[in-house]
Amino acid sequence: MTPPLLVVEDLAFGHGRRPVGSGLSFTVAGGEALALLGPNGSGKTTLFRTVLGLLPALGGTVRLAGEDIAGWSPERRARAFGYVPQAAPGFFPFSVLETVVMGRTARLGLFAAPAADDWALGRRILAELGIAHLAERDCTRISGGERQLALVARALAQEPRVLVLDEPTASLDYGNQQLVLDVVAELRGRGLAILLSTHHPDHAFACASHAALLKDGRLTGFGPVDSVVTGGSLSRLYGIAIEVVGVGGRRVCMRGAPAGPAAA
Amino acid sequence: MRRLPGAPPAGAGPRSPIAFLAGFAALAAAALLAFGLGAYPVSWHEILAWAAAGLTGAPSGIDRSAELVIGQIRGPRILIAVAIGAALSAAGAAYQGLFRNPLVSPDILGVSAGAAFGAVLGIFLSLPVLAVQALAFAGGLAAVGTVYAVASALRSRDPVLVLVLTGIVIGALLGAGIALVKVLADPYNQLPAITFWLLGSLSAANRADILALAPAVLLGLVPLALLRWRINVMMLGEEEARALGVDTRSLRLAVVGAATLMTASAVAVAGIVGWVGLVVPHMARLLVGPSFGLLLPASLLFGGAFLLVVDTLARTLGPTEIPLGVLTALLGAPIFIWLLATSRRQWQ
Repeated sequence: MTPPLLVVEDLAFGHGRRPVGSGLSFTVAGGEALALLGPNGSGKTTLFRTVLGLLPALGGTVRLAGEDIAGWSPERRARAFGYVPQAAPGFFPFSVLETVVMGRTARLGLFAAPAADDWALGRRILAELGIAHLAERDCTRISGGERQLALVARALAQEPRVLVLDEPTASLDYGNQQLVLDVVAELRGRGLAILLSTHHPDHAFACASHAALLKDGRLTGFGPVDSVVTGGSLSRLYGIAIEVVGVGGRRVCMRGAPAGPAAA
Repeated sequence: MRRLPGAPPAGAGPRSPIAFLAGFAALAAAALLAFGLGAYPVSWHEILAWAAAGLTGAPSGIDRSAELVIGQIRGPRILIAVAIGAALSAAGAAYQGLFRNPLVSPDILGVSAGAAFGAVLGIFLSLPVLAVQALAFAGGLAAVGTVYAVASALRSRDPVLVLVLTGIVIGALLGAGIALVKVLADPYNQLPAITFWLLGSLSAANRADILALAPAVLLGLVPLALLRWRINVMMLGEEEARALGVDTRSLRLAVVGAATLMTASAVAVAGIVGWVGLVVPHMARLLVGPSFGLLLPASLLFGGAFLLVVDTLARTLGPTEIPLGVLTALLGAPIFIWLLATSRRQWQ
């Protein structure tokens, strides 16, 4: 049996020499989506930056298809890992299509600019995500949801094997959150290995196959969503009472009754 | 029209073909005016006859002194004005992209302060003009080199911010050095020369300057043109550029090196000409969009035309030459306020 596509083993991460977290091990196979849950300041973004190779690992290994990525060139990393950062408006008014085609950079020569087939690929990806009409729009003048999808499109233009999304639903309205989750679920269906962080356990139910719980720099749970994301584990993770209930065949997370007499 | 490599497909860069045509027309008109106007007026007829003679090799048949004014005096000065305007604007466009800040000008890393210190020292020591220029050039490079070395030693999560702040610190230090030399300088002979140099002028520009300027400007331009697409990606910021596969540290060094070389050589010839490198890339961005493959040629074109107009005004408006820096500030400030009013969203 071949090992999963992305294997993280005993990883220690942090800025400089001060570790934020250590002893992390998890895997993501193609077609799986791992949702990382954790309170504010638990180190989710730092962990992602380390997995992407933007920060050096302080210990342990990140392996892609069996190969340690430490020492990979930025180009090689960008061809394997697509990164969707939290959407900031950006400073310069590039068009959505230009932004998407920037995802091709790691596949171009140092002095090259995108060629006709790169632009065509960019348009195709936009069409697949249902935002072809945004192609010529100015990236600083579209809504947050549209921008998030444009960044997903840019990451897909990298033609990666692993897609890393840092809180892709943060600061989006309810409708746009669902839209982004649908896209993540669909990309999982295409065989990409997906790693995403979120503040909503419900979003893990909506699009992820697996979940990992990060607290104070350590994983307190990792495995299939249904067995890891439970009322008990979430209550411990966030330090408040949380229940997971089934509604119409789906699982939903809600604030649990506080200890003591329940309100009528 | 065939698209430039690196240019986005039709649709982005809304008015770019018209903008380039207008830029060429403006440059040609400015050149014609610059040849004609001055203490010794030359007619359009004479300019065209001289140009035709230059192309065919036949005698032009125009007045000997007109020929001298066109070929020996105004010709070199026009070329130098265009080259310096183009160089400063291209460097400004590169720095604004690299530092993701539209308020950045080519001297952000202290190149002008370093060049000024070198030149002021040269004037103070009564060195010949060529040595003053060489000192200015070396001073500019040394200042940016120092800034870069200090900023690299201060390891930080935000290398760009550290670089800019170090530039401000070293610039202030050099400013103190310049002030000291001014205090010590002979107030009758040296101080006017120093002041004039600090405001920029092309009144002493000659053919030899072209030979000094052209190779440095071209040498700086080549990497900027080649790296045009990666410079776009750098505009997304350090983190995203790295995630997209850009070796940001090497690219930053290449862009800073290229832009510094262009700025330092311009400053060495003309003194400190402010505003051009700040305002022109803005105007160019409004017309052709932010993509560096179009922004760079547009900045070169508009920058060349802009400084040629300014220099022509500088030598024809008054009985004596007006320093370039005075005129670029008078023109640049209102243009910049207008830009702020019309394109505010870009840095909100």
